[in-house]
Amino acid sequence: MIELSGLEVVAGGFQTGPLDLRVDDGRYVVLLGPSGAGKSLVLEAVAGVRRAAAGRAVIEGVDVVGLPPERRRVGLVFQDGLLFPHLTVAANIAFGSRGGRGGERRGEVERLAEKVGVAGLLTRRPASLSGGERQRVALARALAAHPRALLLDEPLSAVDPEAREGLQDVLRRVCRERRLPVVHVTHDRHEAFALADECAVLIDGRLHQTGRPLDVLRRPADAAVARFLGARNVMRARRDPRDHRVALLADGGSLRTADELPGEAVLVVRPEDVRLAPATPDGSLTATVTRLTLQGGHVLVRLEVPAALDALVPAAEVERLGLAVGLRVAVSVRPTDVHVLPAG
Amino acid sequence: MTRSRQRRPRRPRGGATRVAPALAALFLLAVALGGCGSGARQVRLMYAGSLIVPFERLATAFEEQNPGVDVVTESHGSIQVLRHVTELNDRVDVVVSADEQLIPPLMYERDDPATGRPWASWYCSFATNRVVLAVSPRSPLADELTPHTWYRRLAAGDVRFGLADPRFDAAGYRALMVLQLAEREYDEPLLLEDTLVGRFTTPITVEHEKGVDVIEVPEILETSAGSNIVLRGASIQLVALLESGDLDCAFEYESVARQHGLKYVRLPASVDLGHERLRDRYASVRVKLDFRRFASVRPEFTGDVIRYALTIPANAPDAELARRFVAFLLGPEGRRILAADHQPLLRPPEPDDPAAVPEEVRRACAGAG
Amino acid sequence: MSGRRISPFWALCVAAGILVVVFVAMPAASMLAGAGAGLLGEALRQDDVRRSLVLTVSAALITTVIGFVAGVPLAYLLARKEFPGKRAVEGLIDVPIVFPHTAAGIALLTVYGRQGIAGRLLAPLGLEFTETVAGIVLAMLFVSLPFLVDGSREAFALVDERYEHVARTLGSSRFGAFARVTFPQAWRGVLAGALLMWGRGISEFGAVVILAYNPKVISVLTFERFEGFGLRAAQPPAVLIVLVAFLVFVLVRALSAPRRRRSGTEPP
Repeated sequence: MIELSGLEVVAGGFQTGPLDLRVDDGRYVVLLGPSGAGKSLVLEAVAGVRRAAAGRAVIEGVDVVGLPPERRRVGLVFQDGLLFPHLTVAANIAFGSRGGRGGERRGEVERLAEKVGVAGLLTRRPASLSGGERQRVALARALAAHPRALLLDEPLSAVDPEAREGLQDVLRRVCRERRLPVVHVTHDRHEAFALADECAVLIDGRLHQTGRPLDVLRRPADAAVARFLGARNVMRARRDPRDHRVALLADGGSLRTADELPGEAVLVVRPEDVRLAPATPDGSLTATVTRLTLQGGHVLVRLEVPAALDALVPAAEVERLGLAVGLRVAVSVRPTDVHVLPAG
Repeated sequence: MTRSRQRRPRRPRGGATRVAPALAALFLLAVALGGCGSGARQVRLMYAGSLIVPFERLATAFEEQNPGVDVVTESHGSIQVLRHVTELNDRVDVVVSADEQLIPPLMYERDDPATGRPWASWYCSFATNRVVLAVSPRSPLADELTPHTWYRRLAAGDVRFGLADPRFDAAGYRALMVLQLAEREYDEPLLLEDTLVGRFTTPITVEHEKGVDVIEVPEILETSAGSNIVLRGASIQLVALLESGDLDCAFEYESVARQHGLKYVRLPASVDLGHERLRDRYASVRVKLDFRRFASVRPEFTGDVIRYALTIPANAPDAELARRFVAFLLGPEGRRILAADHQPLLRPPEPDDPAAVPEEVRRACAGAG
Repeated sequence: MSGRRISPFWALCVAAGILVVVFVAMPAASMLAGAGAGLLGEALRQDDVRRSLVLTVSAALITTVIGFVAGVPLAYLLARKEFPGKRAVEGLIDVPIVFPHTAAGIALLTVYGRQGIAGRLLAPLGLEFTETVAGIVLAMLFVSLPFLVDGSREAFALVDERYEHVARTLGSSRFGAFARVTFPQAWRGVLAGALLMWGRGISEFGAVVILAYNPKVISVLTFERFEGFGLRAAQPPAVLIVLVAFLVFVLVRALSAPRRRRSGTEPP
């Protein structure tokens, strides 16, 4: 188990923390945040390659903050793998394994290589491997040292999109099998959602929210988290004095909410929750389509209420509705899909 | 559609573009300064190392008296000084040897292949000296080196003393002569052998022939490991080691010891090669250099009073300026400078063949009577 | 591949290269030609030449080993750490390069001579630096150490420090990370520096001749031969040492060259 209490790391005038975070054995926690938020600094401090300014990091009951990295038994996998270029894959993996005789160690190397899917590459040199292969070897190397915790710093960033999914599977499977507490750092929220048992959102050096991916996604704790997680529609609104469940948007229009609103609030609506229908002359909210952007199987529709509002609509629906720039459509959002945040 | 010129953004002047002009300027300056050749007339002197102190002063004084003249100086052991002219094809205006005996065999009896004539045809002896045992100011054994005990201490082997290489410097073979003469003086028959045995990888030996002691110096002379003798190519190089304390004592000329303010042990007159009247005594020792492979010097020197001699080689680049310098050296001003630096002088200077010396030199010798 | 125009840039490089190679090769070639095989063979048979050759090469080797042991840790420190006065230290390390050699010899004499501060301290240990091999090694060490330190420092600096971090998370100590990860990637640069150091030691004259005229290293022997016996006598030892050093350089570079793989992607 990893337990961080009040952990602070300072680098180049930028402070990260104090952080409190707990990762149980076998749990996969993703530390999510925009680039430059200080996520890597946290990993480096826990691994011991950087000094923590304050706080504790207790791993399996031992506070490692005062220990040199070689005594911490914490595995660290870097974004570019950092495989030792002068050693073969097998030698890389075997680097940190201790004890046992040659034969035992070779056997373990082969088993690990098989587990991460690089069994056929043992005699190759790192320079001749692809990004994905390199990360697998880096993982095997970290595991060969029998760490008590595993830290991964943007492990998938340098890997081709096609190879990413395979690597994700390997990561989850192996860590689960070994019951290792894992902290995986990334700026890619899709990666986080795919892998995490728990998400910890780090923005500007502060932990804004921890929770299950779905909770964090649908109930962001504040505007910063919401924006980072792709909630494109973040709007300031006032409570309608006549009905405390109606929000008056700053630039015009209104939305119904499920619960009573405070006097001033910030509303978050995910684009996929914005429903479009042919415009009708009744009093519902209408908007003009100003832009259509194809994204995979969906289309991001920008609307002008006059406030800007984004809707994510399946491509088939776009065709059915005959959406085009300039068209006026009716916009509706289910009250339960309107997520209310305190103003400020 | 008209093509509009893209305005290229101005790149900020980085380090390289700022350094380059400065470096270029420095380079040009260096070339200018270095290339500043003196259009001056040059007179090249090559002389025995023991003369370095007075000769630097002579050079400066001559330059002051003759503006536009540049005196170029170079010093080596006496044998090497002459061989620079006769073997290394150096064009020198004035050569000065610490041993007049060296000039006839090296310069009269051999011809300049370019002219078919001897390298030189006269010399003029002008100064003398004495061999002393200079003592290092930093030696803990200084008190034990007295006129009565020095030879025994050297033979005992626990005193580190310096010797010029007898193959290259007159001071070297003179020191050997001193040791041999000391045997007779102090009645210590094995003094030379005791002092030198085991100190060299190839030994220096002595033969006694018909009342003359002949010291043979091997072709390869190297001190053996742990030897208490230190060899240097020119006696003047021993001075630095005396000053630093890395030598306890060394055989030096008296003038050099006095120039450097070194204490020294005065040697008996019959030993120090400094007295005209004792020439016959000195002649009882000879030094033979066993040059087999590189025979170019008639390698046998007879003990004699020390006499410094100079000449102007036949192929001197600027003979006229050379004569003027020699006249200056032998004249009152030059003699004053030499005397101030403790260089004993011959009064008057003695040319070996008055008919052969240049007019100016003869006049200078006559005037210094 | 017909009608391929040589780019003017490469032509310039080749022209400059030819000039430089000729400049360096001519003195060496003329010496070799002047000496002739007969004279060389004779030189090898001469006792003093052989002894001097062995002395010079082995003294330089001892010097290089000492330099390696003392210089590599310093080079590593300079490559990895920042500290106040670091620029001054780096400048100081390079001072022996600009020190005129005789001045260096004199400086060493005043410190390590019999009456010098260090000389007096070390004498009871049996170490004397005038007229001894120890003095030769001392002089060589002083003038050649910067080459090894500079070369090694650059080599270490080129190895990403993060490799060492990774190694330590895998359980390596600081020294283990250095020995198993950094040094194996930097060794060629260190070797190049050591080779330069060795070569520089062999060629030293001014500092050695002041501290230890005897026993004679090749440069001193050559000088003495030249002064005392003339050009002819001086050539054989000079040529021998140049040949020996050249062979060693070529051999070491050949053995340490990385295996280059042809990529086959040269732009026109």
